[in-house]
Amino acid sequence: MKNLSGFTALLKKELTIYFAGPIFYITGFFFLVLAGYFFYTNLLYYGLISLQAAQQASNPQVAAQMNPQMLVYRPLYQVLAIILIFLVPLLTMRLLAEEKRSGTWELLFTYPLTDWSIILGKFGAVLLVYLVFLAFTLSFSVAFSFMTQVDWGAMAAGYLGMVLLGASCLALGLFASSLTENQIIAGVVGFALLLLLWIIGWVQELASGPVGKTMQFLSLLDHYENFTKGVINTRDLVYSVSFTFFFLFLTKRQLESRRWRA
Amino acid sequence: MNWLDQLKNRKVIYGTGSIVSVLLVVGILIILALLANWHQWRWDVTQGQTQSLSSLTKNLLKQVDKPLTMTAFIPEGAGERGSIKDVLQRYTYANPKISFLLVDPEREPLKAKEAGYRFPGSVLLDYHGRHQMADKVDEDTITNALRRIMKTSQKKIYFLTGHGERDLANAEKGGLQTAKRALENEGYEIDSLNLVTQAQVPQDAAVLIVASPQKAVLTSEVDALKAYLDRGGRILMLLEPFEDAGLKGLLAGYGITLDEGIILDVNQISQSLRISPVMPIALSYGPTRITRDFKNTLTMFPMSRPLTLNREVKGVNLLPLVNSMPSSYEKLGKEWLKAGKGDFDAKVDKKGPFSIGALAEIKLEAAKPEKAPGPAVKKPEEENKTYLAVYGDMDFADNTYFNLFGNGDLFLNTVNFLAAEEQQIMVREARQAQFLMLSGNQIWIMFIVCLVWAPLVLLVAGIWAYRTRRARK
Repeated sequence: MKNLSGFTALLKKELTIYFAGPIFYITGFFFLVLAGYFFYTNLLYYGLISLQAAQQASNPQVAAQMNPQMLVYRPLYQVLAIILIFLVPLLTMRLLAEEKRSGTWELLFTYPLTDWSIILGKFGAVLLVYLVFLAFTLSFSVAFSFMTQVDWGAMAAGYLGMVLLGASCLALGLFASSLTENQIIAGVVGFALLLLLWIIGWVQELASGPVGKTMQFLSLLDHYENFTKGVINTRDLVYSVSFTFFFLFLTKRQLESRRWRA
Repeated sequence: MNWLDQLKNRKVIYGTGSIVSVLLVVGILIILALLANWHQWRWDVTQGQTQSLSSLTKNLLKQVDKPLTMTAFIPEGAGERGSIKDVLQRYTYANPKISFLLVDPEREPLKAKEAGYRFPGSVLLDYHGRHQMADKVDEDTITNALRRIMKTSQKKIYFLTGHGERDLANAEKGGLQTAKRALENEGYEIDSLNLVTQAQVPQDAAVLIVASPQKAVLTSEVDALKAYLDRGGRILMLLEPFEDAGLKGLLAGYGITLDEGIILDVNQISQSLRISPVMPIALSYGPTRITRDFKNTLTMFPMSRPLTLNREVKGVNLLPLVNSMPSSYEKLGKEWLKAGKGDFDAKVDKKGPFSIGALAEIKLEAAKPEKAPGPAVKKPEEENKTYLAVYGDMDFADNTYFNLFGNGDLFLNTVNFLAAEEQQIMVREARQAQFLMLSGNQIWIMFIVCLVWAPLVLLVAGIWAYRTRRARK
């Protein structure tokens, strides 16, 4: 119970910082401008090729591609994931590094809070912020559904993928922030790690066999792909949850290390 | 300080503990990942299951009980690699006996050459020592190759020729090339049959198709057809209006009368689809195995004739396959065509619905010993009857209309039923294209929703938060 109240108190405090400061509004503004821009242009493109493809409608290859899922949502998810790599370090770099730099770090540990409630409070806050951004993008689909038939099932899978990918990236960003007291370094480290885990799957083109397969399994991109297609696979769920847990666990180790390193 | 003291150092002890715990967690996660890799559950939540195999393929894959390897030849780094993997992966999900690998023909030229590699994107299936190449990677092509490799013998379908029947090789309007390809892809071998040069229908004929003859069939040929039916052969007849090619008598023997008119239909659906009155559409199907899965499936029969079914013929069970709509009517003769008056005339025209297709289940006479090859063992019930399917239309299955609505399915189901290929009778799920047509207003609304309102809300909230913060200071 004590842990829970500590967690909610910290969550509230973190959210207040987000909503009072500029980071939330600036990143949110640009995230939504980009998401809206890509949704809108995908939609225009879809309308344009609908006109051209109407003549080839009997071709099953063309028909399979001609739907909002393939022409609007899938490209949108792909581009949002790239935006996420840039966005996450901006959101997470402050979380622990700032506490370290300003000295509130020591103060934080004097409170009757467990390490896990500190980590989960901070992680929960930044995840909520991200969910608020995502929730705004839902309005595009709601408006769009009045104009054409939207495949809600596939869209739900896509958003589930976005949420899980966001959680994974944010956990990694939080870990990067725990490593240093310099926000910029935390941001750069987070960005570099995300990029690395994003493109690691490309290696499987060069390395075949178990090495390639392992690299592919480690790649964030590879697991995200299925969700964007409207497919939910337990393998991808396990990966995302494990990934998030692993980096939260590393953050906990990092927090604990202050006790014996000093 | 010696090394023992160093080991006892707080930092080293805690540091080691920390590393060990991280390694432990990594170990657990690796085991979890391996388990998740071995036992995958996959849900395709898209509308119409667009990310899964069609039920036709899934049905076929149930029969794969030995390891099947699919080798796709595609250069590394090629753009299509992803989509190829995507398609092949669906097969492995559906049946764990199936595996696939991608081979780069430039890196492994020997392996590729041995397999008969011709061009990038082809897939070699290897099943139980048999090989089959699929030209490209899409579900239809691979499933067809799979069907061919799994079939030990191919059933043969003959098309009657010699009377101006529709041409199988003709890719133009009115030709049957589309139908022929579709039948080949169902795993049949197609051949033509001239009953003038051949006295009887070959023994290996699974189905004989009479595709709209223009000239009269000779009496001897009609006899050969009758003899074929009598020995258990199956016939599909597709007859256009005013062309019965001397088959009237044969059909009448089974209770099917060909009407000398054309079906016309004007109703809401045909008007909304802007279909000519001489292209009646059908939505009602008979209680047959062929049409069992036709629910709300539209078929269209351009320039078709009605069939009258006389159910009193002994030993024949007649079932309608497809009926025109109640709003349809029949114009008799050809005079109205010349005058160009197609409107319903209650005085002379017959009112629908009409049967456009019919299936005759013909009970065979006690097996004649001289015709039955092999020892006369007791035959199961099914073998004591045969089937004759008749359509008062050919156009519905020609190049122009085959892929329209459920036409192709009706044709293929009929042939599959006649050839006793039970598993292949179904409505194939055509992936319908969904087009987006936005009006100018809708484009504006989407612009405002996507690019104005959401960013604006955050911008205003941001300015408000900034001002309250400043005011507090």
